[in-house]
Amino acid sequence: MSKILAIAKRELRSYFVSPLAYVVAAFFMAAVGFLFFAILTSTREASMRTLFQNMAVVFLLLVPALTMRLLAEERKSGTIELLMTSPVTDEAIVFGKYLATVTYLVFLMALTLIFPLSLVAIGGKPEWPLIWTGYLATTLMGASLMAIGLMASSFTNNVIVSALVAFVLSLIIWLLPAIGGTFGSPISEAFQYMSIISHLENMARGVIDSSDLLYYLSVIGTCLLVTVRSVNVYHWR
Amino acid sequence: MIEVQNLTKRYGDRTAVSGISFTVAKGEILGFLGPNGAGKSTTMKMITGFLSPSEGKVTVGGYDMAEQPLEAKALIGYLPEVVPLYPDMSVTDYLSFVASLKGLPGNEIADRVDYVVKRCWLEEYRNRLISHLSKGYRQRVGLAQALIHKPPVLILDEPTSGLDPRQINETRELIRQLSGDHTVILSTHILPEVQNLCHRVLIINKGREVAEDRPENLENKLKGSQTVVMEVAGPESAVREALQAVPGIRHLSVVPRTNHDAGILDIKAETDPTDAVRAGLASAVVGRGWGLLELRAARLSLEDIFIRLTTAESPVADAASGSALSATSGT
Repeated sequence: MSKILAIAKRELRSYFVSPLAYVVAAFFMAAVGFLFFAILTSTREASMRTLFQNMAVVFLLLVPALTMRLLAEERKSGTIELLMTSPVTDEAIVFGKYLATVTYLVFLMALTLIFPLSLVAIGGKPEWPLIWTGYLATTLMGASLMAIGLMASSFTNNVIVSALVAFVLSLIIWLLPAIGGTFGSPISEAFQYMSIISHLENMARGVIDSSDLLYYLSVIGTCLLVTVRSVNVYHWR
Repeated sequence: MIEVQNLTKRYGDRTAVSGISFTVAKGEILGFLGPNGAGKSTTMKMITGFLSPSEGKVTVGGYDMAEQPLEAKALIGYLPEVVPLYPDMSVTDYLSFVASLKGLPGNEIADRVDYVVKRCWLEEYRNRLISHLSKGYRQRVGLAQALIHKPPVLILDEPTSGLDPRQINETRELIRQLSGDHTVILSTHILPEVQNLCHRVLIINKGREVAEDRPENLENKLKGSQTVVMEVAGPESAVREALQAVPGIRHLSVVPRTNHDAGILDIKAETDPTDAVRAGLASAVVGRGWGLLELRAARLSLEDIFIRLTTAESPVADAASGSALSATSGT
């Protein structure tokens, strides 16, 4: 466990000693801030629900940039050899990396608390339970995209390829309902369930349904499992 | 301490390492010697558990690398050929990270980092970012991370590569001092390194073990033949023919000089180890009226052995590797 934490800590450090963490945070806050402002002025309604969906779109663009280096760069620079000849399991390496990137996600989400808090500051009374559900849903959705990104990063030692694969995979899982729509029921319903965005919509309504939670947890679980297998394969190359 | 049995690595049709077996006792330094691409690094990657062997078994400190990898890896300090550094970390941060990765308890890490920083002459650079270090200092950081958790076994892949001559000497001295309580395998293609440092040498070529012995024994083993060096003034083909006819000659190379010394031949002869052959060579030259400018028996250096064992062209090389191999199986 302490080794997982050591790996996660090093990874987080490397986010924050490079400009990446700050550029991503600045871009994210600027985009979300602009969207928040646009929603407020255009609908004259202080709704966080639309904002969560917009955040999800921003994640689609930002997450590959955050995850592309995770394993691809370790392989390129040869530091993966240090990790894999240390007394740690391949699982610990993968979980450590994932823990780091999700911690950064939680940091980003925490920054956005300024928006509902600003509503409080001007005398609004936001519905906090609804907001917390939205935060949970958006974070889970971001964490799912990060698991996809980490998996993509394990497939190649080229960070650009890694980012592209992550983006394309995320886009596919995003657009599944549109793809499924061309087929009839029940395929289109199955595709609807597999879409990463439909569950966010459910939860942003304030309903925590176990099927939505299960969906995100299984996307994360599956991707991490594939990543561990893919890291195992390095031993044979 | 380290036991390697029949280690083999195949990539598709290509065999990178084929059936290498050896053991290393506690406190011993074993040198892997071989040309580039011989399979030294691949063998080390298998010993350290980075690569899984296609066949064969590695045991470190009694732990099978395939069965109990965590226990086995905990015993090893490893300096890979490409030093695994994070350029965005300072030397001490990096070493602390490696220490916790290797499972060193948190309260020992700071002391241990101090120790290896001193040991590897990094004191002035301890707070420097690794990206700002020169090649030689990066190599030292690599060595420091291999030592960080007091590993009983050290696997060092070309530990002196990229160092200047003074650093090479310091590093060799460090490895020599460490060998007392560490078991060391190091690879190199620099011969003096093996002669200076190693208790035993394993010569690898094209993925196969060509010879294994103490450096001094390898030399003696090939004393089964002698090399005679001659300088003769005479016609090339006639000299070649006359010398070839001397009994006891195994292999002859005649190289005419091309500069202002034209007409002088540099001759190297592989012969039976008797004085009679040298006398025969001398009289063959003098008897025909050619000028015998020099004749001496050359002592074989490890370099000669290495070149002969790893170049399979001449029949002599085959004979030599044959005799070395048969002696290997006896050890």
